[in-house]
Amino acid sequence: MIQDIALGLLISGVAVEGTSRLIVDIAMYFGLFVIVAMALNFQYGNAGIPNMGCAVQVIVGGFTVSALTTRLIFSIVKSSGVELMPWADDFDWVYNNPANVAMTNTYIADKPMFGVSMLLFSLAVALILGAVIGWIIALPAIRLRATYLMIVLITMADASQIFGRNVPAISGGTLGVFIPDIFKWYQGDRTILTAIIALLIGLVSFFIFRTMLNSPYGRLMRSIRENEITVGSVGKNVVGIRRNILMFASGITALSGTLLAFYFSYVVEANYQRAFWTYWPWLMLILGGPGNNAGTFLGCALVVAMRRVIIVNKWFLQAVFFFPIAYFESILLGVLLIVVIMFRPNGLIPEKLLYIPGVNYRKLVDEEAVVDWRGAPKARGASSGISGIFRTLGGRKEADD
Amino acid sequence: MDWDTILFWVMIAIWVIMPAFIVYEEIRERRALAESEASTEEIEAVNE
Amino acid sequence: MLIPAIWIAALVFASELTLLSIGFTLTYLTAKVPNFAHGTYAGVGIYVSYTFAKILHMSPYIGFPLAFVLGGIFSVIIYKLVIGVLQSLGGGAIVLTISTLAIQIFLTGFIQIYAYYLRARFNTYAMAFLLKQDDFSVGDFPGIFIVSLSLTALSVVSLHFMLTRTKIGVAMRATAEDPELASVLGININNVQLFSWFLTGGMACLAGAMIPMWFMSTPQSGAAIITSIMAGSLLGGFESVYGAVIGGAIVGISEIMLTTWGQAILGPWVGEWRPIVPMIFLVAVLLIEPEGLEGAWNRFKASERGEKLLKSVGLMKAEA
Repeated sequence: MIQDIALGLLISGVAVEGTSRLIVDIAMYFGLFVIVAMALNFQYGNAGIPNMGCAVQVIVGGFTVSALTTRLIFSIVKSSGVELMPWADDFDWVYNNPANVAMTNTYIADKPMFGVSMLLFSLAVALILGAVIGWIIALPAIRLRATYLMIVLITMADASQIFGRNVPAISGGTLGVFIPDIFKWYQGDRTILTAIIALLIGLVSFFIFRTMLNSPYGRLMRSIRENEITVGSVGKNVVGIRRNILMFASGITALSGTLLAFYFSYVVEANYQRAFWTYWPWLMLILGGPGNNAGTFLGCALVVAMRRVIIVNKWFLQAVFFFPIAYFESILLGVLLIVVIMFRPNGLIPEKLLYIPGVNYRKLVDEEAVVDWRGAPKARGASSGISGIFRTLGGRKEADD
Repeated sequence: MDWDTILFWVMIAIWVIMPAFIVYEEIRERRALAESEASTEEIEAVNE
Repeated sequence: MLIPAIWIAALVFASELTLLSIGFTLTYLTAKVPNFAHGTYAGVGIYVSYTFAKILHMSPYIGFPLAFVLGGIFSVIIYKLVIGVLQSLGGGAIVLTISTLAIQIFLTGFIQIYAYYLRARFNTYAMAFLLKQDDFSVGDFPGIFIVSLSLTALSVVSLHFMLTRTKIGVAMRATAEDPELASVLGININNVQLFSWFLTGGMACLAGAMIPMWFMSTPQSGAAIITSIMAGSLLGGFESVYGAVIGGAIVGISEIMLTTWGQAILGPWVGEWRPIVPMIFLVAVLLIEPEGLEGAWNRFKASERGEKLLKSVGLMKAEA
């Protein structure tokens, strides 16, 4: 019986067929990855924090929806008189979930304001919880060197998956939890709505990040990336700033996790795998060019296009390679990462200097600004003085160290 | 009114506008950067 | 003398983890990069054992030497193709680490394909397996218990001997300390690097070959074990081989013990949380003493109390 309800739930809001379905799917994933990759660009490309634990931030968004929003909706629906099955303890929560969700959906079906308010609520809470998880991540790691930071972050990403898998109250353990379809009032395909929202949020996040970058705060970030010691000696609280950056970017990344939950109307820990949400955004970032919003965008577009091409040609490829495509994708991911790092470390669109009105660039930058982020952050204190702030990463292996 | 099709094309529109806008902004920034470098070069040349 | 099964499991796992942690630390010492793919070399070793046991129908122990050589070869190839190239191109620490991550993804993909191929071609279930039944017994003990403990002890002793007495070992240590000075002194850095990558890859693969004899293994086991390896290495001090020995042993024993005790006390659900144990170690070490046990030991030696204690025991020469 559960399978029937599940099937009914999953296909009830989805009416678009064929190629359009594929396009909507691509658009949705594109929007999501744009959000994650741009936040990642903010953290790594601009502030020099290699955040290998993006998966944690995304997962928190998903968990918000499955743990908090769903329970809230259930409570509201129950208090307005609709009979719901109990969900207090873990077993009931998971087992009665499909039935509860079906009944909640009929409640939502004629209350568009309710659905929209729930969406806004989820997004707001995801933002906050994302910032909280950013703070938690920053606790052990923010003072550490780059490699230790990466190790801790990857570990945390794994830990969050284990949490999700083993604590049924959050997201139903291995079975997963269905989400009430907050777009039930929309007679048509809800996935288009979520795709549009994802794209819009992607656009908005682009603006937010770009504005932050072109502000004094952005210059502060860049200077921290270049030369922490100088900035610290000037009196800025470097650790605090990095923590703020991490928290801010975490919050925005969590939004994409929330949207993914609403897209499928289903949250399960396996949807938020580390490889998917950490490595692919990193590939997009590196491919497009770190430190550069347009580059990240281009990287996203290329990678999403490539993956869809692979999936569409699945049958052909599976005749050539005898194994499932998923393995091929991971090999491709590994190879591409290595190739891009080796041959085009600037990415496709190299980073540019920040535009500061009224500054005489000629005086400050005495040699051609060549981005070589491979060198970062190799030598703390290598660049000297003010010119180090505006010269982009590393430069050549020069003798003026 | 077939909401689905309308929204579908809205989505495509956003999807196309996004990169256009981003590219436009990037080009504008780079042009401003180049102009400021060119103008400081002029000033430098005059000052010499 | 009867040893309960849990202790056997803990000691076997601890000895395998010790081998792996030593390799990880050695890699970090010579290449200055934490090799995220180290666990995946063990994954290769796992499947070498499996191939010997299920496909060739021979005892996996025969495959151990092959595992060592194969791991060494893989490691050297990867070094030449990827890491060496990136180092000569002037890569920083982050880039090298990302490349090792990419290698891990890549190798795991290959292992999965291999497992899939085995299943398709030979009709054996290669996705999750345990090779306990292919083991021999010595009295009451499973063979792997004796073999793993002795192999590890042998490796640690011979490593110590090699690093302190032989030319190549001393060359390795010199290169680790200061590559430029070492090359000035006439040491061929390239050869030393090749040798150390071969050695660590071989050790990792050997340790991996031992794993399925007691523990359930999947294609993902190699990638999953890297957390424990890093915890063990970090606990001992990232840059100390002897620390890695102790650290690996502690983390290995704790992981099994804590999980089993937890299961006895709190219920079977604790088993699922087993990967959390090395993570807790990792975070705790970084928060309390980032230099690990080695750092604590150094601090202890340098402090007043430590000096007095050690002098009284005779481990430190008294000031003349």
